[in-house]
Amino acid sequence: MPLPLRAPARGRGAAAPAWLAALPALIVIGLFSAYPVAVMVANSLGLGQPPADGGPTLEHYVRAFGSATVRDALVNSLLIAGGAVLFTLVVAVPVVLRQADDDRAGRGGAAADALLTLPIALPGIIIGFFAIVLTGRTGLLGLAWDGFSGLAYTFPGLLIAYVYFCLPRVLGPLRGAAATLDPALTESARTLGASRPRVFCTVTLPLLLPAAIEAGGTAFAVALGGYGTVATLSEGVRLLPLNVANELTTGYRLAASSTLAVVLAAMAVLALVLGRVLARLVRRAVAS
Amino acid sequence: MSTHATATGHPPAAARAGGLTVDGLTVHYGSTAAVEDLALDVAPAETVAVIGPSGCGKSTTLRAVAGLVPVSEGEVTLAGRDVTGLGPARRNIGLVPQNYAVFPHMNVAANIAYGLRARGAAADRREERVREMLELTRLTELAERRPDQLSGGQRQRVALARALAIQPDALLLDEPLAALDPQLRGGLRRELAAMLAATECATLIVTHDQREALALGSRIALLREGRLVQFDTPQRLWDDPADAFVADFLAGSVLLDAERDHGHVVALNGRWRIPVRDLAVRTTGHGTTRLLLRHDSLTVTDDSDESALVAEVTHSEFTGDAVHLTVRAGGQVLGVRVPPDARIGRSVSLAAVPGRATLLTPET
Repeated sequence: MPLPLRAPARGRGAAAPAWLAALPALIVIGLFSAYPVAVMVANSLGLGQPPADGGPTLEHYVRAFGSATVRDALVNSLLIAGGAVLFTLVVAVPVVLRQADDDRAGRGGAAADALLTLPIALPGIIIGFFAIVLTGRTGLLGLAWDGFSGLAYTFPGLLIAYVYFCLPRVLGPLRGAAATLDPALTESARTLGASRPRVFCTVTLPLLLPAAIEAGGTAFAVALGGYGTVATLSEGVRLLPLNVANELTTGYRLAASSTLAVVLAAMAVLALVLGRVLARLVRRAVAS
Repeated sequence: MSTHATATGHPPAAARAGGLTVDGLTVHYGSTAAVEDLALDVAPAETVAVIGPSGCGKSTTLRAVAGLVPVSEGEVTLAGRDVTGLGPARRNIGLVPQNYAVFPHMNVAANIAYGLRARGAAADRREERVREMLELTRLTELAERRPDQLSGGQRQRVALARALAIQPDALLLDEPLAALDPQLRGGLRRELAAMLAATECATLIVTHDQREALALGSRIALLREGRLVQFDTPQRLWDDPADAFVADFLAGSVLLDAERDHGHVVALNGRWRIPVRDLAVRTTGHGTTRLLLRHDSLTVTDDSDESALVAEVTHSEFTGDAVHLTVRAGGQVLGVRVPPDARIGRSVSLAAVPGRATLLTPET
């Protein structure tokens, strides 16, 4: 009698709590982001190993924010990450709309997808190297116009490199959102007499905006922590991750390094949360 | 045989003055023609249903009229203007897509006002028009609602109100009831018919559902493989189908080639001789003599006289009040309804129910 036997077996399976399956992931997350983060925070507050640290203090934070180089690096980091994300969103929106059209029509090749996703697999150092090859002092574009020569080491040059760095991180999630946009919406808007720019502003963009903000928040957090690219290109412009590494490599100042890392991590988390909250607010505002 | 017959009772010239005219329309997708040399017209305030099996080109026709697909040949005339080369924004067309495409980020009133805003209508004029449309579609109570708080039928009415708000020269509805629950369709179909009757614009409905076409269209254009097969009133399509495809698709009927032989009609290569007195006789505008059989035209008989047709039963299906038999005779598949308690063997003798089968004879 197979049937009566199978029924209780299914009942037992359903009784197992759902979080059990998530346990491996929870263990990894717990190990990597709970204990080490706690150690890092403790170091920054003077609660580390007794010989180095002498008890609870905010001295490291005071010193960090009191330093002009740290403040400059912090502002640069915010400007580069923010600017790069904004530029990336502007160039990414037309791309994902086109990709959505192509996907619906069954067109579009894996080659284009791979090319657009490539930067996600490249270490930041390689992206920095790309920037030097193109806009370094003897770079390819420098041959065409002198203004490009050495651009890689300047603020705008760094911004361009970071746009390339951010591109796949924005394109991925935004493409999913664009795919869910019903083409009948824009078609209906067109037949109602709206011009293409008007349709874009009143239908496409409002519906894409929440996903764009959320993807932007994530990309901002990732760009903030990016080390390789700026390590390759840093001559004039310094970003915060460089300072974190410097405090460790020159003199092993664990507490100072931890302090900056905590600041960096806090900003990244803030960007992520802000991205999500703003996206939800916009989604609600757009829908009302 | 003029299967491309246009307007019967609607002079094309009158339709050309207002309404919608499609002439010689050809649309290519790559190298394949989705629609070929299509001609039809919709008079102002008239509703024409375009029907056909999937892939017949009916949706492409609607999209070509809306300006959403490029036209290879032919022209689209709207209220006397040649709009073939115009973009969708400049045609003054109201489109109700299959899934209604109500803007999810706007409430009902803002959806209806969208086209008026795009046209830069003054605020007071806009509000007045939106109010009228809300009343017409009985959505006044729901004006502030968001689309995700509406039922399918209500969303359809929003899309209809939005399309009508701009006072379009033509209204296009793509499968208006296909997205709705089958149980609700009957009521919503009648509701839709009432609202369409209240509009002044030429209405084109695309559907694959023959009931929808028969109920909503004052004329029906039947398409197959991108070509127009027949364009006529529902009554005439029903009574005098151009060919077996039309008979089958629209009415589930069978159209057999037949010949008159004195007092009899001979069909199925001489296998079946039916006395003419048992048949309803009508003239046809579509060529040869044919026999039109509906699901109630045949019955199972015990007499095996010469007028009976012996057929092999291939399938039987209980439908509640009857049993529907699928039978095969002389390579032709026919349908027969018998009472649920009838005893049916593998082979049956069929006879025409007097007056229920129709003989179509060419006009002389």
